Amino acid sequence: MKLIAAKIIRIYRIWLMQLYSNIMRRMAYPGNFYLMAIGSLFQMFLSIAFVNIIFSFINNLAGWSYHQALLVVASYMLIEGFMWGTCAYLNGLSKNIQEGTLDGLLVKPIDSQFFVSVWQSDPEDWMRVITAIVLFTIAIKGLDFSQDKFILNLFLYLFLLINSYFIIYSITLVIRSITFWTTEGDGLWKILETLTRLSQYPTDIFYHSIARFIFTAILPLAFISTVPAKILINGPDIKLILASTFLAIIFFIASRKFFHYGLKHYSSASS
Amino acid sequence: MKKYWKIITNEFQRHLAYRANIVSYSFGHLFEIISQIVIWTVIFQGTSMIKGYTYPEMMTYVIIGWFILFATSNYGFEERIAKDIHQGTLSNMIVKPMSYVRYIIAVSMGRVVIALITVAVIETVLIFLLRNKIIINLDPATLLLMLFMLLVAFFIKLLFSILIGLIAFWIIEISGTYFSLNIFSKFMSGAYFPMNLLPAVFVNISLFFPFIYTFFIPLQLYLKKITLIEGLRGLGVELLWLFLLYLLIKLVWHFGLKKYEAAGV
Repeated sequence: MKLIAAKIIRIYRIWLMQLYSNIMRRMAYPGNFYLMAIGSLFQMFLSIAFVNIIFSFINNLAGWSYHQALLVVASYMLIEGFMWGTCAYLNGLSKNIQEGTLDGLLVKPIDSQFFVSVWQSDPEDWMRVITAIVLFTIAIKGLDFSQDKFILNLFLYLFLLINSYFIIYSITLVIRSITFWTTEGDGLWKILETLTRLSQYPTDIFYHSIARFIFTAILPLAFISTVPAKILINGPDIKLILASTFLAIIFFIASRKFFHYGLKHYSSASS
Repeated sequence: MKKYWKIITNEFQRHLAYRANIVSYSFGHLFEIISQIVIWTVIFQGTSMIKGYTYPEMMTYVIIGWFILFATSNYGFEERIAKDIHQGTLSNMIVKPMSYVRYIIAVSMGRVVIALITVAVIETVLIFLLRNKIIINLDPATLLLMLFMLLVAFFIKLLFSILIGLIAFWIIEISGTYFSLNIFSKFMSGAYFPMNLLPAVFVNISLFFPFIYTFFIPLQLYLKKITLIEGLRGLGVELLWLFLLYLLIKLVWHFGLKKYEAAGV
């Protein structure tokens, strides 16, 4: 038990150091950092503006009211912000494979997947998390919650968001690991990016049964932001909570295995 | 001219090696319009008209707009120019008997071909599948004017990218500049959503920038929301912007070269 605790503390320290070095790297050019942050903020603003435009013409979007839809957008923004802020959607993995510099990371005495994942992060994207929290607060204020229910629902919501993070992270890891074979894998990443962006809208808009099956079973977009928002609004749903947790675990294990399988095919361009 | 043609064909062949990547990119963006189609379909289930747009008009805006966006895109030249300046590889270009800016334009033209073919194929399939939901405008005068507008739009966007890239003569890291400006220009062009869904002041402001003429105006022409004369006026403004950007690039290049340190030489 002591050993596990020590390992977790060590990983946490390395992550913090990596985060700090990424902030230093970005802040070497403060003007550029602020412009990046402004760009991210503007992108968030456009998503919110689009929801506002939609709801200036309709009362509900596939059964979701304005504040409920805002909650879905905020949930997606939170996940997106954490993904950019903690691992930059594993951009570093593709970059290191393409440049043949992955060797330098693999020889470090730490879990390769972890180190490769946190090697690059985009600190300016924490702006997305801040915006998401503001949006979340606005959405919550617009929804009617009783105090006692809200705390339990919020706890479950946060738990489901952690699952969402692992689902997105795992899918990204699989897509990025394909670069071990193809070297140029940015195109596949584009597909993933646009697909995951679909989860900023309630997945109930996909009324066609085939689309629904794809976005819940094959690519579980529904579990990224719609399900957490549903649990926060409607309260616990054991089936959904278990499904989300199961998916997060399965996706994480499968992606980890795929990453290590891909690693065996790494040919190190520069060596 | 022959040397630039060689650059175009070379770049085309070089990009054939990455065709799978380009096709994946195009498909990635395809999902973007699928989501747009789904959302607007859901929205129009509750209303028949949104700020003057009917359902077929909105679908046309999304689908034809997707093609326009790709037909006029160039891919990351800001970063390439910045790299050339910072790593000193620009020195190799300066000593050659050709203009660096024209070289970049030729490279861009060679690069866009495969993406354009892919997008044209996907667009044809999309139009065929959704032929009953969109407006098909086959008026030759409109299509000819649109073609000219898109051609000029391609060069406006390219020159804008080159201009941002040339900022690298003065600043080391330009990623923030082009990231923010690209989002701003995409918004101002009406590519995120039709500009006239926003309060009128946004449309009025966007008329002072070149971007609206590269996307929104050609689409309004296609949808017959503006007349041919107004379209021609749009083309005129586009040409004026193209000329202004060209002059600006000349000016920036002139002063930038004085600042250039030819690192690595």
